[in-house]
Amino acid sequence: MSLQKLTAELYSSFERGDYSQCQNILPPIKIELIKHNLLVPVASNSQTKDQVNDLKIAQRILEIGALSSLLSNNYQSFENFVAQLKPFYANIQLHPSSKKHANSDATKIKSLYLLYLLSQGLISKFHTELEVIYNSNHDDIENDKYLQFPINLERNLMEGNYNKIWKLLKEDKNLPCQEFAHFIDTLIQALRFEIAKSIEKTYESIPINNCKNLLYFPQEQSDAVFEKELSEELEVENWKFENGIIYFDKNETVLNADNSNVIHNVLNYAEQIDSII
Amino acid sequence: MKEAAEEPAPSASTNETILKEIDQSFSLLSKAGSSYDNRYISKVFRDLGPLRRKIRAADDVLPSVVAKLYPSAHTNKVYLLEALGAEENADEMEVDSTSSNSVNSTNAETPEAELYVHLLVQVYLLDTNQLAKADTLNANIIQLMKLYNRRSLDFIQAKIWFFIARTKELLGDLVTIRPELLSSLRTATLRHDTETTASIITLLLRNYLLSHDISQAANLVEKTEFPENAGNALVARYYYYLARINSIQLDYSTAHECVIAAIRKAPQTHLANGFIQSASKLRILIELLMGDIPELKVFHKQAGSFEPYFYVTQAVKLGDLKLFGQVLNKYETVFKRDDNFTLVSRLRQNVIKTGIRIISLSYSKISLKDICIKLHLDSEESTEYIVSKAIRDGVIEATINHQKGFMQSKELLDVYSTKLPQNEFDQRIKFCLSLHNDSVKSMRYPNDSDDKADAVKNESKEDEMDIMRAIEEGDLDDFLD
Repeated sequence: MSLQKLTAELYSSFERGDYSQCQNILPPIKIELIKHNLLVPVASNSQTKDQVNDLKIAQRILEIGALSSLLSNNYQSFENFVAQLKPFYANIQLHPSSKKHANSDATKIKSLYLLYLLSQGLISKFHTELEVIYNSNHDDIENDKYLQFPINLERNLMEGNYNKIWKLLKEDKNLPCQEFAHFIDTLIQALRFEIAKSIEKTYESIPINNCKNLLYFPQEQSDAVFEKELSEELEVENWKFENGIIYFDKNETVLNADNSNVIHNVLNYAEQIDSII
Repeated sequence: MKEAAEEPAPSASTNETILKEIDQSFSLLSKAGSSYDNRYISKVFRDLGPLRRKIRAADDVLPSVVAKLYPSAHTNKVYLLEALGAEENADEMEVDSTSSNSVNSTNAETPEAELYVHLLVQVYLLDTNQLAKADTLNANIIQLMKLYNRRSLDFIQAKIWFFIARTKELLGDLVTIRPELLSSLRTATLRHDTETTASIITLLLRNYLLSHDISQAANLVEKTEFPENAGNALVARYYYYLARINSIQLDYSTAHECVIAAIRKAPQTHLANGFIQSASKLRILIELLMGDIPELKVFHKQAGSFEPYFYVTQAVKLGDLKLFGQVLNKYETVFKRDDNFTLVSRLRQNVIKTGIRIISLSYSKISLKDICIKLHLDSEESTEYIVSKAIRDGVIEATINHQKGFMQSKELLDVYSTKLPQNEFDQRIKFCLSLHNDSVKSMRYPNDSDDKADAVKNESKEDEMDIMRAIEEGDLDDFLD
């Protein structure tokens, strides 16, 4: 099949929301793109207007690839598509640096990627990406509803302002677009994990009901289910449930001087000084 | 970049002195070539700084130098003269110089001298801001450098690469030079050419960081090994870039070590002022991000625009979110220019944390509501989460009583009953010992053979002294930002 036909088919199945079909079409399309030298934008293939238009179509194909992989839970392939899209977004011919644009498909993909990194807990990668976005000429961060979302999320997460995040995640109308809803569950999971870690360090004991509140579990959930969920999903240990109150067992690490270590060190110094003299 | 003082208008006599100097350099270079001793080259480079200023003031010197290098027609001569814009009177020049050339015939056309002249032309074009010409010349130089494989050229090549990258940077074209840099990095590494390897690694890192391509830079650092015995200036630069990469990747303690190393290794002359300033700015931010407050004398000691950083420190120290917001707004452009804006904006959480810490130190028991009001936070619920995160991160030692809604600070622990002082002490002793070992290793002893040939020694004694001085000062030259 020719590239045109495949592209048309990809567009239509993406419109229909048939993501598994998209996944099937994508590999042959990529092969066609490679044949036409369109998979990677370089200086030599982005000169004339026609070439730029072709590249724009290639970019759209990859964007669809990224979105459909994401929506069919194929994160590995989502990451690959994002990596392939990066040279497109950095290309001067395709994205002239003279004007800033907000709320484009490009920023949508970028912020979805940021959200993905955040939900996986890859904070240092998140900041590496952010550094590029902050300093690029064509992303208007202040006015971009897509980019604002992950940035705010990370900031609140670092501050420990979990209340705000909860409000942000809980209402669908806060989400800039539907694709973001995909990460909600993983993010809530990550959020609860963080809160649980803080709780066990902060309190000596806490009534179960209050704890449910803090972790944003529904009040009517039975204590047994709550306990089970806690130990299975949040990997909590040392939580004791007694009479409606949770006690946190703190095994303080003993910091007393370790004698054998001291002796070892001193012998080591003696040896060194001996060699100096 | 340093600015040359205005030189007087070029006269015949200054031209002659310049020619003499270059002649001297030629003879040193040929010595270096024949004896494989790179210290001669260090000596040549020590004089490069003043020479560069003189050449800039005297436009017509370089064509005659080129003519002297290539007495007969030569392809390299054509493009060199073209770059200098002196094509038409090339023939005349040739006649002029043949006489002097016969005297120094041994000096001409050794690869060392050849590349040195290329370097001079390149620097001249750069200084006179003829970037496009410099760029075309650079393409030729890269080809030329590929022809040679001599260890005596290492230093010159390293320097030439520096100026090639600088030209591209001034042209705003960061991407096209990368393949050339990478391929020559490979060649230099295979030849154990430490100087060029080190130089190119720093250039690549600078290139990546300028285009904010942190992941690329991190990959490069991971895959390459920075040569241990590279010049101090290069090592300082390398550590500075490492500090930058690590700070962006949130590894503040490594970043802090690197930035301290960079500042210590940087040459302590006025040429490196710019470098030390930007390194110090980075250091202040890293320390703040680590939760430390830099000492006041850091700000007093330096010249330059440290004011914004001072106010940021103040805001963090006071734990005042409002003040922090104001400072961030006011100096946004300054931080962006220094490429530090993302780091500064990360400090917001530290402001809150110090705020909580101050409260925890002053009150043994305080209601969450009061904390909320004091720190200008949104709600009591958020306050509870934020305080609890601070406890988890080890910022404060406290517990929260949820039912009654207050925070209770723990009694301070006696550190001397723990292992901490012992560890701290251990670290310092280890540092002193390794410092001692390193200094023993890096001492330089004269060769035994020198003692036997006393006569030779006396003759070359002066030479030797010069070279030692050159090594001390030589690599301080051309210290960028």
